Amino acid sequence: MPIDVEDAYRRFGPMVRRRCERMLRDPELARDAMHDTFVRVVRRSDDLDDRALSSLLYRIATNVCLNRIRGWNRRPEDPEEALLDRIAHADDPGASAGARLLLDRLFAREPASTRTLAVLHLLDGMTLEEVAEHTGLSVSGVRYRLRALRAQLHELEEVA
Amino acid sequence: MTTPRPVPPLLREQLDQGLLDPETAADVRARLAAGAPDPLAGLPDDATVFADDPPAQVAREVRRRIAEAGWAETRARRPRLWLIGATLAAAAALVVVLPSAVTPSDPDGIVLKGPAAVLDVYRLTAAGAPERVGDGVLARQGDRLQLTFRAPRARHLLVFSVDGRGVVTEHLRHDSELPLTEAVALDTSFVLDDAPDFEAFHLVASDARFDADAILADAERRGAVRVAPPVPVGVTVVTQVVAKEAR
Repeated sequence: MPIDVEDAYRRFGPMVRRRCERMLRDPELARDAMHDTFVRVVRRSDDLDDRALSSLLYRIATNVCLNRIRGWNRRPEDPEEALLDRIAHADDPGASAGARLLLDRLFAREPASTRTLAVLHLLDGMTLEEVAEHTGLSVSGVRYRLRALRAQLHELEEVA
Repeated sequence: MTTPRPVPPLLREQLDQGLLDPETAADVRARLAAGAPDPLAGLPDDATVFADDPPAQVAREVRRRIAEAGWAETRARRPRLWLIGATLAAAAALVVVLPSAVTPSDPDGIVLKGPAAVLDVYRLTAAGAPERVGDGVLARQGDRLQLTFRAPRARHLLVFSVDGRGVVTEHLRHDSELPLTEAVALDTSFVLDDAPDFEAFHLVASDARFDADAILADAERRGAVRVAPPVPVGVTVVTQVVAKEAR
């Protein structure tokens, strides 16, 4: 059955709003991103337990916000915002093969982009094991994908 | 005294949601008690969020955005038949998508009317890798299948399947002002059931609006037919037939 938006929002809406507000630093932008997060999840029709849905919404919200930040051209005001900005503007190593990404989407349903993994690990402070648990990836897979992104972040840092 | 490891916001949220296992929950509580900063500090509480955006209002707005994007939710006419259950036939089925280089008159292959539309079937292998099902590649009953399609100039799309029992399942209906420019995957993957003989997947695409209900109704009338459905002039149909055979 498709996910019931109203029910999902009652349970997880505040978490999604807080996630968006922390990343976007603006209540109105956060509310808009929160709605888009639920748009992206509502078309799913598989059965998810509460924890899986909670983690999924959190990842989708993170990705929605990263895409917003990627479209910005403003100077970060603090180290956390600067880190988010660098992650958002980095190329996603996992996206280099379009077909592969599409197929990942087919079967993983809502795969975490490498940028999302980076936010969970570098900004949120999750361990690799925690990132793996909440994204359905293996620890080695998370480590491998983050290694490629870290190299890019270092390059961006050096250029800056 | 060592500084406690920071608490990730998601774990803090899931602590409040009661979704953490007891060990993790205890660890998170201990870290917070030991002075780890609360990652939710300074962010709106639940009451504020619900006051700003009441649930019913959010649900309406989400539906409006979905409608604006032109996506209709998938309507399954036989929502459970793809699920493998213990009561299904014990005999495993093999599945073959027949070679694509065939003519429209070939009942077991791809039938293509009109240009530039592609429909592909993939399965998830035991090793967890996606694999295009075609050209003799075998898939077993219980494998997950997934469809992707491209229809670069189409503003109106219908994806449905007909199985060997003549059961019609609508997978996707899409109407939009903007044509789809990229490959699209269905939101839902499938587990093959025990329907006999074949499963035919049809992509109907057009720049002009067409009567999707009439096409589905016609498919139901025609029953267990694996060839492409008749469609109005100017409408593209791509059909992939997955043939099944008992092992």
